[in-house]
Amino acid sequence: MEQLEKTCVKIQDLLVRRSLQTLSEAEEKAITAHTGRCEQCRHFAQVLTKMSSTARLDRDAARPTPAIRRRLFAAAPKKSSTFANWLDAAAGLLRYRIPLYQILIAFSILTALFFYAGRFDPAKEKAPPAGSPVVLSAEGVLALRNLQWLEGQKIGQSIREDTLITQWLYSL
Amino acid sequence: MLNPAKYRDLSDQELMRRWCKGEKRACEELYRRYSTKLYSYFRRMLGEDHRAEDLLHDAFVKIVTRPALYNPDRSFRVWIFSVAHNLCCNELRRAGLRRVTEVKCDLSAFASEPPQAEKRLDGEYFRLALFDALSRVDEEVRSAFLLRFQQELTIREISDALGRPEGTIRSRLFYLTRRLGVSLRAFRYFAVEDQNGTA
Repeated sequence: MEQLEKTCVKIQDLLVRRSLQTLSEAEEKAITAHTGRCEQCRHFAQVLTKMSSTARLDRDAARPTPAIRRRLFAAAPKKSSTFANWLDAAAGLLRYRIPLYQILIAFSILTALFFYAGRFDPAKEKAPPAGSPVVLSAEGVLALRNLQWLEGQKIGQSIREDTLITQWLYSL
Repeated sequence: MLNPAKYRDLSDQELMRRWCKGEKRACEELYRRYSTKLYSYFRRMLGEDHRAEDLLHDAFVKIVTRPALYNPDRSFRVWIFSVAHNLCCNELRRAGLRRVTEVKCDLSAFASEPPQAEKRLDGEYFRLALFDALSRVDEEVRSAFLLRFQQELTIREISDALGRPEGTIRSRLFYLTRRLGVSLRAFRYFAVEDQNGTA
């Protein structure tokens, strides 16, 4: 009797394993042979079969209310293409209701900055044509004379002279 | 844009890919395929229909609003049940309902009076007793059981969905199934039905 119970325990373990995964052919044969003569294990196998079929049938036993689907897809973002995404983004900006005067002010500031920067562009400064006469002001004539005088004085022969010249140049 | 009927032939991964590109019908087809499955899973995990509906909504909101969370290399079915399991755990933790303690059916009563019980027991009682016993086990084991027997996922898929080693899932399921099998042995009526081929 004890031997039979041990066999039953093993067979029932196999039955449980069979409900979770596939067994080898030898194990299947052992189950078939034992359940053919053991009513207890046959019933246990039926319970396990019933348990898995009950759980499987429960999967489709109840359905969610249609309201969930409606609520879900009503809130779903609608996007069909890249162009549509851009349109959505633009519409989103309008939804924020940015005042028009702010956009105009921002545009004016940017335009002013653009022209202001272009006005002082060194590349756009027009150089006088070559060979044209140079008209010097009184300060210019004085500076030119000072330069001629400096050339005549052999600049750089002594540190003192250099210092004086540097001071004078900084004072210009 | 395909004919709506053609979406039924597409795989889950393909539907998700199309939904990422903005095809709404692809997402609707995913909802048609998985809403009932997820709902039944949530019902058994939480024990309450309205909570199950809330979580179903939350799960699909993730798909609808953030499809980029899905890794196309992974099975969609595994991913969606992984999301569902995490939502359940969070919900149970938040609500302090780690164990559903409501008792709908006392198995010991049937075991003590087998002759009368045999007359009364049918598939409906068996179903109540099974899910009542299931509602009293740990949520992770319950989740593994439901994924295996209700949703028919493989052990490998369950392991992937729950983030546990396959051996752990297999052993937990083995002990739970054996325990349930032993406790439900009191039900004999359907066995007669099965033998007559009427079940």
